[in-house]
Amino acid sequence: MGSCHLILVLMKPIETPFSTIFIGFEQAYIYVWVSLEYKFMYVGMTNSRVGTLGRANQHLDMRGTLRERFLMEFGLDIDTVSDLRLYSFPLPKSYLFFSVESTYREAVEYLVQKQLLEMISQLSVKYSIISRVRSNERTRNSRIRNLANEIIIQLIKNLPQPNETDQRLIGRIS
Amino acid sequence: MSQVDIGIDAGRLLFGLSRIGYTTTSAICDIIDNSVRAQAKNIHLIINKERDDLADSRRNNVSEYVIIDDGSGMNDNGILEALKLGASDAGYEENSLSKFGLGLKSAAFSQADLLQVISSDGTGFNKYWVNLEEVIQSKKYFATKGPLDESDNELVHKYLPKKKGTIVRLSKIRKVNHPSVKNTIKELTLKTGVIYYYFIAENNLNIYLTGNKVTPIDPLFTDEADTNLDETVWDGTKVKWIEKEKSITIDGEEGIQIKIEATQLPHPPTFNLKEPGTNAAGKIRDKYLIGSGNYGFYVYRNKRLISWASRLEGIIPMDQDFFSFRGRILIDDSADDYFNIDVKKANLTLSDEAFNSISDFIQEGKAKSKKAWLRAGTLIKEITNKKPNEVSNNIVDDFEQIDLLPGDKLLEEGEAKERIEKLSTDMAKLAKNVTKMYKEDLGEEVSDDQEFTEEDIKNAIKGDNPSAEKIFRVSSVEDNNLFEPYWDTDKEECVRINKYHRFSRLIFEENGENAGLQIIFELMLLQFAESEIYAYKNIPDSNYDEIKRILTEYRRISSEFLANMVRKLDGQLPPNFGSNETN
Repeated sequence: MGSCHLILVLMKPIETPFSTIFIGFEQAYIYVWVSLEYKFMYVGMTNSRVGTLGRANQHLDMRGTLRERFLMEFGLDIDTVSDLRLYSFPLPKSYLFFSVESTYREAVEYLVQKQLLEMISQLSVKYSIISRVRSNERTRNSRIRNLANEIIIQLIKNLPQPNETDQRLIGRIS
Repeated sequence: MSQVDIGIDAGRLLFGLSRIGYTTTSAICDIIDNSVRAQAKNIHLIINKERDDLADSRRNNVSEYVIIDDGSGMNDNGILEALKLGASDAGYEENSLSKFGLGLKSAAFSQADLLQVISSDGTGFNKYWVNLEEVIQSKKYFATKGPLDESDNELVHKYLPKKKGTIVRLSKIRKVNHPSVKNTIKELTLKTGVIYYYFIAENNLNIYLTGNKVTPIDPLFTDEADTNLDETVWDGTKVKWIEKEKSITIDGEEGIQIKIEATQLPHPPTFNLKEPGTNAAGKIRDKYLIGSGNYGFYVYRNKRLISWASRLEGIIPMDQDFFSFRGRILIDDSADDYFNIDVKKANLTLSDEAFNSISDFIQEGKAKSKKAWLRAGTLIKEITNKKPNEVSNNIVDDFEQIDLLPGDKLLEEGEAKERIEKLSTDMAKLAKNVTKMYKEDLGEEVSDDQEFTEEDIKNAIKGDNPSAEKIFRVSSVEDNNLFEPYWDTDKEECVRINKYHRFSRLIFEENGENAGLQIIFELMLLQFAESEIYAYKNIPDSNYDEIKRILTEYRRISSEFLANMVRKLDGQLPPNFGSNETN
């Protein structure tokens, strides 16, 4: 038998820091998917045992809501997006937020999306929000509102290509 | 390749165009649009009757509608261009009201067989007319030029002394089911007041309907809205803001923005209670246009109303609990592709982007509006009937549960005292925690070490109904459970029920009409809470902390199971159970 020569082409690896986003034990999250290439955002919440990483798997599944929403909005498969980013915001470690009874985290999710809708025109990049959310009575709760504000501030601070306009906007969030 | 002219039958085309569904009011409004576009300051509508001696309330008695405006007017070519099917939009200014170049013809021939246009741009009046019968007969679309007659000259003399402006005459009005003068004027007074609200209120436009000046009507009555709607305290008598005007983006990539605002109008039945026997509710309905055809969104394109009380494809459900909801959306022509408007400018369909953005944005306001409306209704019921929570509290007012169940033994005095002390300590902690949560629910900022007054604590413990003594419906319970026991030496065993838990909402909201179910539910939870406190005080073989841990966990788990069941069985539980069954 002759020897078989394999030529291995080494690609640059794709490094993806997971940090702790696979941890969903006593932990719920608000998360925001962002693409600068297609200028869209998708807001969600989860109490998945495997965190936003586990939820991401469901979202990108062939019948996942992110995949379906993207297809509806852009007429394209989500596979065409090359710069998808996932921002995860851990909610306080309390039953209020990670229980099956989801009104508290749903209220945060709603307020984040609503504020984004209001503010998006003032951001340097005009994103489209493609997620769907539901409101409930807890949206007037001060703790929930503060949490939503903090999430918006952190999101804007960490968006790709922030500029001075975005920084000034952060100062106006109360 | 060769092109073959296949021709068109102009008569049939025009006939078809005239049957696209205009009402008399919408047709006249479309012609008024042209006057507004021509920057008219004064627009007059004259209605000539077939028989002057008959009352205005008689149907099929209109011979002619005449719309006169003192706008920029048109020269000979301008009139012909206006009469052309698919008139050019080349000369339309930015923010034009026009869209398809079909409005004048389709509106006119929807009501009349003869359209006459007399106009001058300052260089002298010219007159052209199109006769539908002649066009149908000849199958050719054409206009005839002729001199102004005596009646035309009288109108010019009376209304257009500067020799500039336009007169549109719709003659040979069809007499099949044609509305009365009275009804047309009544409807036009309302519709033009709303449709041209901005033009009348801001641009000094005057519209006269058979001599009477139209007053602008803001369908949101924003002038009366003083403060934001608080659905938990609104008594139904005042206009409130649901959302003050905000700009939202419906397409980030294209930078398409719209303005949106909403108000809550008064709750008419409340006024009957305040002023019985005066039909006060009817007067409020008339004043604020409250009714099934008027709730929803009023969409203005370039400040002209294009959609009256639209439910925007279900964003506002067909539900009378939204009767007080009034929304307004302001768009310009950049948003046309997102708000697809038909030739009549009467119907619109939303793009997915517009639907989603508006739906998400207004969801909270929508929920507030419905809650406020229901609360106003509940306030009436509270006065006329005793509400279920009062009834259940009254039922247990003199009821005392068994001190010691058969077979249970009294604890030793020392241990019994120790358990009461632990229970008191736990309840003091609970009171502080739920007071913090209660204040946060009210939107107040609360620090972790904040001290609360006795009054604060009492309000937090009791929630909605200050007169309740045992069963409290509250907005927050520790760990967001369905209920929790409360105990103090004064009130003894009580229950706090989380009214926002999914299971509570199923009982209190979705089955809100079923007072008996609510009462039984509350009585049952009181017994669960009493049982828990009984266990803390009396179970002999385990220590207090162990009993507390197990019972708290049990309550958490059962609350979660109930929430999950309601979520998963959405639509299958009472009052909707069995609704999906087929025969």
